[in-house]
Amino acid sequence: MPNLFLEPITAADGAVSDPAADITAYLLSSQGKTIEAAPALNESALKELAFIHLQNSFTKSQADDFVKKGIPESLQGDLKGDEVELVITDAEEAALPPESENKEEQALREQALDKLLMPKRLMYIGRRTITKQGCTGCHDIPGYEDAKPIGTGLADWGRKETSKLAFEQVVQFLENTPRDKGGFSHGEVSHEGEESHHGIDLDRLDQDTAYFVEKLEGHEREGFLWQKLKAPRSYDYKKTQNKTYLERLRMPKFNFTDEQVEQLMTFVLGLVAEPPAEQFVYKPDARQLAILKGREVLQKYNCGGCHMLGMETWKFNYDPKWFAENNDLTAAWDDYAFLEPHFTPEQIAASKKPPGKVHGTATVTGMPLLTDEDQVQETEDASGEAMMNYFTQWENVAIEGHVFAVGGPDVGIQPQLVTAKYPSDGGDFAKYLHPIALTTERAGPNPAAKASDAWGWLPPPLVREGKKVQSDWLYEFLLNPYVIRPATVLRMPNFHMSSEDARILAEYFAAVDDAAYPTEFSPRLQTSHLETAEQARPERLQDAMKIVMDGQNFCVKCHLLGNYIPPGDPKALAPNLERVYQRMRPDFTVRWIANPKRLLPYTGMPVNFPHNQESAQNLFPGTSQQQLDGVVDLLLNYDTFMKSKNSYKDQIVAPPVAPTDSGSEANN
Amino acid sequence: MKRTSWQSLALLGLMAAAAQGAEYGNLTGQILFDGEAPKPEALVVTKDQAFCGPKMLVNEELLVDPETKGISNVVLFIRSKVDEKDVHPEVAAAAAPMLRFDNVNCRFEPHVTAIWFTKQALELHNADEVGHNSNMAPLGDKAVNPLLPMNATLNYTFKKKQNLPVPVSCNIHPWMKGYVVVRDNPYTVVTPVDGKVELKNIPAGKHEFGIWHEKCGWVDTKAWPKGKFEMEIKAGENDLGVVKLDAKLFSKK
Repeated sequence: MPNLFLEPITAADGAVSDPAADITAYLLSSQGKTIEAAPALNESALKELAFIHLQNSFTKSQADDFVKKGIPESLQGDLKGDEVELVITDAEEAALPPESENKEEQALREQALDKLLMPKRLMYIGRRTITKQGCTGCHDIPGYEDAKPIGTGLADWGRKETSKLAFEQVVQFLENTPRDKGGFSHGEVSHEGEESHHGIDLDRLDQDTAYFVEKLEGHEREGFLWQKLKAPRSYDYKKTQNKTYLERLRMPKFNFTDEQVEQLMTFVLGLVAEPPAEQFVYKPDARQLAILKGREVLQKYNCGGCHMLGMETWKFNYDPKWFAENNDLTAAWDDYAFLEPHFTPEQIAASKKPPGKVHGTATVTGMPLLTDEDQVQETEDASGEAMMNYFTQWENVAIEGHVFAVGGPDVGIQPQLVTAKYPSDGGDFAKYLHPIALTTERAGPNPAAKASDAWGWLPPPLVREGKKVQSDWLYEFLLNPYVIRPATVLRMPNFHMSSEDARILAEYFAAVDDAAYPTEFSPRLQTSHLETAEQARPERLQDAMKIVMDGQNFCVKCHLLGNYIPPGDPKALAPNLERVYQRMRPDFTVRWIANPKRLLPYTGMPVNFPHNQESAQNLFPGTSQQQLDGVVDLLLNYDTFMKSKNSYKDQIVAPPVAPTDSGSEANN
Repeated sequence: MKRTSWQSLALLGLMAAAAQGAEYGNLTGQILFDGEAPKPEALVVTKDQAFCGPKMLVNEELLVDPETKGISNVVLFIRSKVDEKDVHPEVAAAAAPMLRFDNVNCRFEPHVTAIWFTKQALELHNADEVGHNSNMAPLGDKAVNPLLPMNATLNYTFKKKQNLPVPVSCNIHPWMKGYVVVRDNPYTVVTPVDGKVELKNIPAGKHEFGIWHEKCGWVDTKAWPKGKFEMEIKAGENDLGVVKLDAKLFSKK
């Protein structure tokens, strides 16, 4: 279990709550359900069950003896399995009343022995049941690390000889069992009171079912597997009379649909214990391999439980006339040029409605605009006669010849023409928390909180994480997570993951976002770049520092800087700028500061240096581009900049240097 | 400049000519709170306390004048299409090309403003000595969120009409919230302290109106289902009457 860092929280009104105590109270409460008391232990049934199990390894009389008296410690060395649970140690034996011919004394002994044995029998039956039912197939249970699966090996099942398949009385089962119980009985009853054996009328069955029943009747592999997946224990039909409890079939009924049965059959019948042909073996390159390995680790730690790993996707058709009336297809780019998404002329042309078709088609990825109750928001379209949805795109997309950039206007969509909606990959817990976080904040200090604000207090989507953070930083953060955004209502837990898992995840995010790893070259981090820029605009980093440290208007109004924490509500606090150079990738940083919504549409971070607009001239005289570059270079080279402000020469008192002879000679 | 002025005059002349044959009516009324006027709650100032703290800020979601029971910031507007040529010249002339939406004393001023987007642009401004940001994401239009140091401005032109008022917030001062009503005609009124409604020179004829308030959304009453109603505007005076809105309407959210 990860360390969840559940520390007491002090609310604005001074009230302190302890989340660990709250969660404990919640888990221990009945949550509205009535918990029924466990039935009393049936001791005779327990003994009988222990006897049945012991019979597998011992004679009847031994088994009977061991159930009643336990297994003497002297036999422990011969025991191989769960029977060790029934051992009576010599010390335990010594503590019991001695055997006696006196009936009353003997009864006392047996009573004490039974009391001693009862928990041992329970442990024994518990262990045997875990082994028998194959619980370890799905669950990790300490002590069962080497347990074998209870099912038949499937590695070569696809070519298993049909003579080795135990069809037993399964055809009779189908003939004699009513349809509502999984068979195909006609319902006639013989004079003997049993259902009559007229065989199965295949003509009454649908084509697929008839095919598989025929295969079953012919004792063919496909028929066996089909019936096994539909009703696994039907193979015990009329067999249980001659089987012991331990011999009965155990495969559970999974209630597969017909489609799932066919899918599983296709897979299992293809298991022929032969490696696939060379040309069909997937050979991932380094990046693809990093993604595959990363997905395993993501699943292992259930990262997608909290974080969205992929955004929601909608596919839709559109009527070009309606689309043009309800979306601005004429807007020109009016932001920094380097933020403008680029599509080839072919891509733009392909985004238009094909000639001859009534509708165009498009796919958008991101988040539909939601109401405060997290329902898809519906609003009137331009005509006022129909409803429409808006979708906030997280990926740039070209539709009907127009580019919809991230951070630009949302895409207006006709709900009735949406053809598919694919939910986000992960993030269920964040979605669950969203309305709660919003309601809590509104009821507290911030009645004006917006639904979009609340996303900033939750586990963030990890879309673009690879382009955002440096792989080395992510690796270290995963091993030792710390608070980045004080506004979040949850802390990233410490999963105590291995160094290898952390490395795999760091590489995964870089690979999936096509970012450079393990290292990245950035001109902004080069001394030559800084020197050239400084010559062109002297004191630029010093002026940028003035912007960063201006608590009246700029960065430290919200951002932490080193040990400085801006006063105010933690919900309005932003990450520590002292760590930007360790954490953020250079290209992401410049894009982020230029216009944060272009990377994270719901963010509350403002545009500090609006494109082509004058701002902060008292702190950093220059164009918005110069200010942007100056602040980005400062943050990315923060350690170098701060070191340059520290002169060791002035702080160290050097010891006096005595003149040497060699020095005198050299001077001569 | 000279040329622009001549063009404007010519335009006004044309419009006046167009208006000569048309008839216009005024709509008046008053929106009152039916119940005891709630006392606005004091806001918790969590940022820039030295500057914002003494401003005695209150939650402006529902402001009712204790004397008149008038409800502030009720938005009444014509929902149906009004051709630009039908807009009365005086109304058109009164529409300033730039409408200021200010950050003053750690609140938005005005709290709710209305804009005729085809003729007017919005000037986001900060009159305070502390920095603000104005975060606004109109549906299907460009989202903006400029940081506004003291006396900074950002001009914004809406590209499309909005069915609902657009919320504007300041992330630095999370209690700050305001609204911009973006319409394609100038016939929108935001009620003042006494709740009085006054829309002048509406083209005569049948119009569909919308009525909205921040606290309750569409003012959904028996007479105004889902905040909509139709009304025949006749030449001259038209009276909406004194409308008392049940207090329960404002406890929905």
